[in-house]
Amino acid sequence: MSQEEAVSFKQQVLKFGKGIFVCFLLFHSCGTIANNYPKNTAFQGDLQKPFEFYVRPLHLHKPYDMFYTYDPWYKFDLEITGVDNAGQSHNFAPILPGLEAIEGKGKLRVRVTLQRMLGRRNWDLLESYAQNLCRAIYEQSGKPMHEVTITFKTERLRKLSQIRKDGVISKPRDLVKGPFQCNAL
Amino acid sequence: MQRPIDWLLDFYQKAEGLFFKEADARVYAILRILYALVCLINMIHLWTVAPELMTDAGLISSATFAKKNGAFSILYYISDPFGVSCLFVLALIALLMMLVGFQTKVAVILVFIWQFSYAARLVGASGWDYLLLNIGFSLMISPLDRVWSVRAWRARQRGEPLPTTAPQYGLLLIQLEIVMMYVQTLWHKVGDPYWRNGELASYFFLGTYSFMQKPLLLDLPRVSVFFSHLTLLLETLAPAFLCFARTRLWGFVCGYTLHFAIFFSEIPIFSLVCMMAYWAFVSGDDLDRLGAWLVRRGLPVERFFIRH
Repeated sequence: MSQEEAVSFKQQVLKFGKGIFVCFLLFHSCGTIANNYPKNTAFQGDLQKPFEFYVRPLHLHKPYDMFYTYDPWYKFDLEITGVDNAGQSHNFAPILPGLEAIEGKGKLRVRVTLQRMLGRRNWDLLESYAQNLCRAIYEQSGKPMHEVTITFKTERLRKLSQIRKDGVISKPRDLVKGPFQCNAL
Repeated sequence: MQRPIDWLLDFYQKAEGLFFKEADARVYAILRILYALVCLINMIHLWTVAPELMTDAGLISSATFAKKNGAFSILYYISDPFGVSCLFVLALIALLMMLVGFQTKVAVILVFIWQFSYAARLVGASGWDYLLLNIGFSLMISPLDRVWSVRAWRARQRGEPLPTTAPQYGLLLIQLEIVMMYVQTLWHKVGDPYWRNGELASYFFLGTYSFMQKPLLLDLPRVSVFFSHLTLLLETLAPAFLCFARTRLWGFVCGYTLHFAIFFSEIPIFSLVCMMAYWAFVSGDDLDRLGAWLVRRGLPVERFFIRH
């Protein structure tokens, strides 16, 4: 291959590569629009499907969720109850590692993680949390637990009109999850 | 009559012309520096909760995430406290390399791997994590270090200065992301009864995201309506103004006003991410004007801001 031919070949390859890259940029732009398109239309998730093969593994598909409505939480705490093999109940603090208590509102990301565990699709996360609790309790107290129960002690905001009437800001509600059997340690 | 193949070729050439139009390389440099700084702040924030959220001794095991998510994460394989700390140190080094523009391509790829690795390991990931991830993807395929970088400095030393322009495709992708983010948020908010009736600001001050958690606007319903609807207005105007040269400054004013207010909540990093991303909209002429304005105020920025 002469030098001229080599240069020409290189230019052809570069042109082809640029063409592929432009097509990718167009594809990615369409993907950005499709990923932000509402999923409650007749299209449902069909518009997002062609882009899933790379946006899912790279985690590029998640919504931004910029306070689309108000955050309903006023207070949020957890109580962990473990029952040992003799049937005795013990209370523990919820934050791992170290079984530490939530101070005040707690750390933002930790609090949000715990709140999202309450989601219907996140039972597996709760199960994992329960098993980690069992292990941590055993490591700290030396006593194996038979089961643990997680109580989300929440307070949600009441409607403004109700708060104005009686001054009570929130409504307490305990959400009990479990008991979860502790797997063999 | 135009044949479909001609129409396609014409469309391709227009797309190529748009994506590869030359932009001022300083815009990429500003984004590179700001992005690295915001990621550093975010990383330090994340480091404080790493034992709880990223180790197997924390709240949720890596195996559970690996089973649940389609996304890949290095943190599925490294989950002991020492290993996780090492990953944080590596990410810190990559971010510092990106900041100064040293081996930028390698650094930005490492930063992107870090971003999607930690995002996949969190159930408590926030909107700003995904925004950083999407912007990081666009930056990863962009020329970021032609100016204001170690690479550019070395090239100048060798007497072979790098070009001061770069194709604008990366900037366009970030602009699209930001516009879509605001379109999406408006789409949801205008349909929400609390944004519509203006009570949202009152609720916000009571909720856990507020620093104070006090019923500040409970007895000031009209002030609550003003703040709620002003937020919607600013979220509409900011992206629209940012897109056009003549109104861009007002776009910055609207966006920065909105996000300055969000600083007084538990999510100041979200504000920093948005404030950083607005710089994808600026042009070389905007930077010249900014440079001239700074020079008039006695700041020694001539070497950086004035184009030669």
